[in-house]
Amino acid sequence: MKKKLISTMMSLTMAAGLLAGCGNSAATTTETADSTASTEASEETAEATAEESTEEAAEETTEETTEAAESGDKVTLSIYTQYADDDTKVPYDYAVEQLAEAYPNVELNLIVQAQDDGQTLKTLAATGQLPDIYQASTDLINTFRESNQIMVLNDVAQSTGFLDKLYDANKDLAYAEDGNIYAFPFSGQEYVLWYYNKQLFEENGLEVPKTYDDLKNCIDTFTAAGITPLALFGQEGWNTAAAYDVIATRYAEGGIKALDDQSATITDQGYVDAAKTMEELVAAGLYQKDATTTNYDQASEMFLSGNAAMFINGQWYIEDATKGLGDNVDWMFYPAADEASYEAGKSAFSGGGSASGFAVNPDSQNPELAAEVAEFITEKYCEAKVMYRHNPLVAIDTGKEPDSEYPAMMKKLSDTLPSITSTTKFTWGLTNSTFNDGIQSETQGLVSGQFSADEFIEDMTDIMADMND
Amino acid sequence: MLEEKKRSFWHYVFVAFCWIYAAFSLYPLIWMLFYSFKNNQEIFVTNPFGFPWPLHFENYVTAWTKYDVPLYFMNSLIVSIGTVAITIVSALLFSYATSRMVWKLKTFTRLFVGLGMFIPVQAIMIPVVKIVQQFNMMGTRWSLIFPYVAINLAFACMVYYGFFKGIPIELEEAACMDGANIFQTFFLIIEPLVRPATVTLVIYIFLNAWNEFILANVVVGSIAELKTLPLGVLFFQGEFTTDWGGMGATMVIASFPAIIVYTLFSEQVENAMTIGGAVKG
Amino acid sequence: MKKYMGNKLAILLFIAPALAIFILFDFIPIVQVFGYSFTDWNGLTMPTFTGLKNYIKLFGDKVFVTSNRNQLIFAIIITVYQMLFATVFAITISDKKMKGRKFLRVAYFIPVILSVTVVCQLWGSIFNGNGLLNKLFEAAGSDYSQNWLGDRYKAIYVISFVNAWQWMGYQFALIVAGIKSIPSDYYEAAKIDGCSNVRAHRKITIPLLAETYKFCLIISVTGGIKAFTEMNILTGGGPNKSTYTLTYMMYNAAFKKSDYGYGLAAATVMVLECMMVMLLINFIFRDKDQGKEEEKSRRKRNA
Repeated sequence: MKKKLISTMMSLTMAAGLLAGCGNSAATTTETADSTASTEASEETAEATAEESTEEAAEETTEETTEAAESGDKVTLSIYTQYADDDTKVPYDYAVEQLAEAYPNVELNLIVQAQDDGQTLKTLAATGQLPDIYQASTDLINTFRESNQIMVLNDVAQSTGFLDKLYDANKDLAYAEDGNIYAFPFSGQEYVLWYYNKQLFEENGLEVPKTYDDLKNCIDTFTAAGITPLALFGQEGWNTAAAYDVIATRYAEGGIKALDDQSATITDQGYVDAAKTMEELVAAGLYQKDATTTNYDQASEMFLSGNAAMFINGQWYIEDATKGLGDNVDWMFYPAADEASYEAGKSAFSGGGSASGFAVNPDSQNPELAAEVAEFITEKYCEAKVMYRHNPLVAIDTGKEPDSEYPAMMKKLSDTLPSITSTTKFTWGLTNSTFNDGIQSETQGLVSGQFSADEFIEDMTDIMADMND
Repeated sequence: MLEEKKRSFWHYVFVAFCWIYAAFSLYPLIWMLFYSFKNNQEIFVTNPFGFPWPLHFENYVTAWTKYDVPLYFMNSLIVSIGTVAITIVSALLFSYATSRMVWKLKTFTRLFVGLGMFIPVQAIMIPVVKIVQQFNMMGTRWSLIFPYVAINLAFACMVYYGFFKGIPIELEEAACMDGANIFQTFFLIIEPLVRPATVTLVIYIFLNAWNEFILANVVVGSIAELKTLPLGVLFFQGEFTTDWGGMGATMVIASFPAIIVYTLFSEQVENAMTIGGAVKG
Repeated sequence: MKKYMGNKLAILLFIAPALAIFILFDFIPIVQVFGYSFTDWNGLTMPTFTGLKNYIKLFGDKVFVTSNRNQLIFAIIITVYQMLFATVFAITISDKKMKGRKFLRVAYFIPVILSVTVVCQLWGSIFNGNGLLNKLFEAAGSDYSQNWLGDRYKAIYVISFVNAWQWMGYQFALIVAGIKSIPSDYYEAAKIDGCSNVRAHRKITIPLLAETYKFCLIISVTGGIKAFTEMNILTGGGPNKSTYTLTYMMYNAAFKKSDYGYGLAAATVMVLECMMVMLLINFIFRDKDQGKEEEKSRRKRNA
């Protein structure tokens, strides 16, 4: 019966006649199963990267892929990654360029990452269509580990010399909780910076605030002058969570990280105080009124055009801020309750690294090759970030120099780095997704000014009770 | 006559309101066009609503060079036309059978298919993609067409049902007397009567398929040859920052053809409707 | 006649294509969704059966209450707005004396043609803190400027308006099409009887388009219940999930928290709500007027 239905359906649809050509199967991703990297390619890698350790890798690759070496067939690897703004396009284009030299027979099929909370990638995984190489966040690594859809890269990391190049401080970014490597990280430790417009502060006769009382004074002055004190992009939960974290770390060093790993609870005095402080600052008008519906570009434009005096974002924003405001921009240590805790807090930063990076699909047609290419791309990403984006905070030691001097703010940060003793996490580095979702929306509630600190603590208590469920 | 006298003050207020509302409906077109010539700073701070100056033509250049616009365009066109054709034919037949023909379970069948209207795409995405795979449709345009038909089917059936119900039974009786079989009756007499509904549905379903993003991204996102126009916006949305002007240009490229086609088509709509009326009169 | 309209082969051929596509691409997935809603599942690994746990958790979730409240507000606003304006404009356009009616007809339909993203971007910038609306209030010297989309309680009304505004054009087109299919002699007869235009429409158009209206009602109300895209773009569900709906809950649970089972429980409840509304509307509008008469006359003739 069913068969009959279907055949009827098919004949009818054909009769519709409008669809000539629809049936032609377009060539799917070129999946030449028989070929992998050729010997020459591997040797060229060795040359290109000019690192001692790569030679071993080349030898190993040669052994592994001799049979495929004869066939000069092109191998296409699909890669799912971001490709939109300079911070993502420059490294990718650079990596592709370098790859063409090192692996002339490998072609990349770029699938541009959608900003959809992992919806696309999770669906691709659920339906067995995961790309060969994909950019994985902590959350995805944990999910795909359970379903065996992420390759263990321990050997490749060893053989390609990735581990040797990895900065000691970033070792923890490569390893997942179970001690395996599932992704090659390219970002190093990252920090939440509290940017401010020096010129606006001078024009209004204000000093950089050290305490919350100073800050409230600044808020009043700026508001009276028609300037938004701090432009927040609260439509994105991570920014409101960071806004809470920069306050929370003044009271409890662990910030949201300690909550995430459950070594602290939200009812601890520090977190309650932080919520109360945030409530007061919101009431005083620290953030713009419509902060919770402001997106990144809006807030950034407010700051760069001098309509807002302060801005909270990661250190990757240094490049753009310097481009936009030149010498008029700087970052400050986060204000605290009193001067003593301000000084003490200088060593505790919000933000941190996250275990994320390029991962490989173990069901790929060419998993070994994909793993090597993933490692290669990761290295090139780091190089491009150092050379063209002036961001030395990458995962590995690239041995490259930037094409121009580091911006002043980056130098200041580099000088501060040795004294930083504690960091927290960005939301994408949090391990518990229930907590992650909760802290993002609850801090957004605080920013809106319509949810009280008590409500925040109460809701967070419920959410945290749910964390191990 | 009587009506002329009634053209009072309130009548003019009402007419004015109709025109103001129309202006409100057309404003997005102008706004979108302006938007596509601006950069982020103008969009958010300096000039969100005014005429764009200087004109940032580079938005169009980027949009055009970042991805293969003609190819994506053709793909969208083929998929949308395929979706419309299959949906209209199957919904038309189905609704006729459930509204006018006599059989048991027809109400149940109708409501059963009506269920399809309520399903959020995100919820059934994984099962749907798996079924598409089982039928070996992956890598063909059918992988988009069939799910799109399924998404629009229930809606189309409900619209047709309403229109079929309004047709007097005498028409079929007369046709029956004249010796036409049921197929002839349907295709020659009944179908022309619901053309006005068909036209609105064609437009609606076409646009739904034309603008669909979520499923397209999952099903053909990795196949360069099959990508559809809405996927173009991906090239402008970064993790943190978005090139809104470039996105505006993409949206103009994607929606203006649809608008032009509709505006031209609406003349045909008028004609189709008159033919429908003539048959009945 | 009964035999003529009961042609088994014709019925089978007519319903087969639609039914086959529906069963394959809608019904089977729905059944699976329903099944998975009783499990603990992250979308990838083997699901484990947990019985009613997801549902119990769902009914105790604060956001569940907010979501249902939002859906109700959304449904009421779009229903009233769309049906009212659609009817008024459709009748106006159908009046052959109205000048520029062809132009107006195209204009009212334009928002439907635009993608939801464009429409939301536009209204988002109008309702923005420094947006057009607040600037108008300032220019008028009024201090009524508001945080339209960032308000815990009011944002949902604004979002509903945006949706109502965009899709009014579709109901308008349906009603226009409906009016076209009413034979014009009905109106001429009414005119001869001395009916005013408005009265003629109230007596003829609206009752004759009962099925169209029933359908419009169903799409408005269920459209409110399953709302998602507008929230997603305009407010991101915020502040603090105060503009969530059940579909949004599903999206959030499934993709942000990798808790598919819970998300699908929310989706199931949403679908059940829509079904109940559809059955309720069908019950209220049950064929009391013409349907029975038709049936009667049909029986008479067959006898």
